[in-house]
Amino acid sequence: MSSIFVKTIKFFSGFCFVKLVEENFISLNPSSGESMLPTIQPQNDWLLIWKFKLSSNSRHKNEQIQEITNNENLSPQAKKVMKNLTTLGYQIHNEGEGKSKKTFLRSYSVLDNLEVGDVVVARKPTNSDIRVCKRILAKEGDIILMDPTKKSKLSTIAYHVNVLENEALSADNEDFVGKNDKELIHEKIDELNLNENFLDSYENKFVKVPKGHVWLGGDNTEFSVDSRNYGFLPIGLIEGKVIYHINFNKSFYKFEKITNCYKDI
Amino acid sequence: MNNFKALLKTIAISTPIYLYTSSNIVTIGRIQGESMAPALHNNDYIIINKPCFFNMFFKDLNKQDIIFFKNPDDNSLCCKRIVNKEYDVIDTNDELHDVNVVPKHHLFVLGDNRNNSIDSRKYGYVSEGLVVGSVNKTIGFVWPPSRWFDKLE
Repeated sequence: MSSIFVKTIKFFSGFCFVKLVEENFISLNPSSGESMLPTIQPQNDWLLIWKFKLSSNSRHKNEQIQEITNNENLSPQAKKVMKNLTTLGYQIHNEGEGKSKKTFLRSYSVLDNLEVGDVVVARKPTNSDIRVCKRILAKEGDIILMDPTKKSKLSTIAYHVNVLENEALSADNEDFVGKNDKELIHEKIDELNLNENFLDSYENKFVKVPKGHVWLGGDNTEFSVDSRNYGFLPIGLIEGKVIYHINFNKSFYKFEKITNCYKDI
Repeated sequence: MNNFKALLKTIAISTPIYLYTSSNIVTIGRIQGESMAPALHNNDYIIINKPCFFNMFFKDLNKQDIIFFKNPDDNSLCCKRIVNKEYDVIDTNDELHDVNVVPKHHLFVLGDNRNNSIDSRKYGYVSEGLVVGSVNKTIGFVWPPSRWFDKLE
């Protein structure tokens, strides 16, 4: 009787251990959908996901505070102020090396192990049961064009101003003689604001990513439902980063590393 | 020596079970701050139902539930009360949002102590995927003992 009891408990603890590893450290999941097509195939492609639930934000802060208190020759008052500010959500940010090293405070909250260009697995904000695999296109504080496949207000204005300037140069038109580029642009904006045909292209605009959010997009822009549809994604919904993938469609398969194509080498 | 080995064995077997239950079924949480003032005070210990286990029996979150969620602003844990669910219309005198209908699968949360809480009035709607757990109202408080017979609503 007791041996059966012990065996079931052992089995249950093993099950729990596997589940904990799957939830918090590493997991292998199949892909579905063609939104990431050049990098990840729609079927028979398995993703190795590194999850960083355990690495919380406060842990990062503490490490950074320790670095500063050890390396910098700050006065004790400055250290106190730094510590108080870091508890309020500011992070210490170093620039330069050696003697030119300077310390700044930034109010960013995205973890340092997330970068622009990383492929990431997240939960959909409009339906938390569905998980999506997308690439990070902008972190907080960045400015990004909502839909690069469509026209925007700025691009149309630039096009019109360019045409007008060319006309003025070719015909020696007297209207454009004393005018700056700024005045031209403002005139064009006023013209476009009156024209209702351009209203659709106005929706496509440059947006700034707010604090604690990221902007996601699929590699296959025409067949992906991403931040263009559901807006900014809070970093709490991100589950992990995709590091490797195996494609079982190939005759000779192995783990291939996913490269960050937005980074200088 | 045999006793020491047996102790190590029990620890090795019990830690995965403890971590799994605390992350997926039920945990004890501590309140920090006075933003839920009449219902919950600073340093109260309460029991939290985790959503994976909770959803098997009760399906959905209801209005007036107290939830723990990750703050969309800076990813820290918060404890607030659900005031509006998806597709509800909100009356806000503040110039918060242009359209005040709660979007699909989102929640509008507020602290009970309205004068002293940072909530959806500041950071907007909270996605349901950010919810970490909900407070168990039937069992109530774990600690301090002076609050054992207080009712949570």
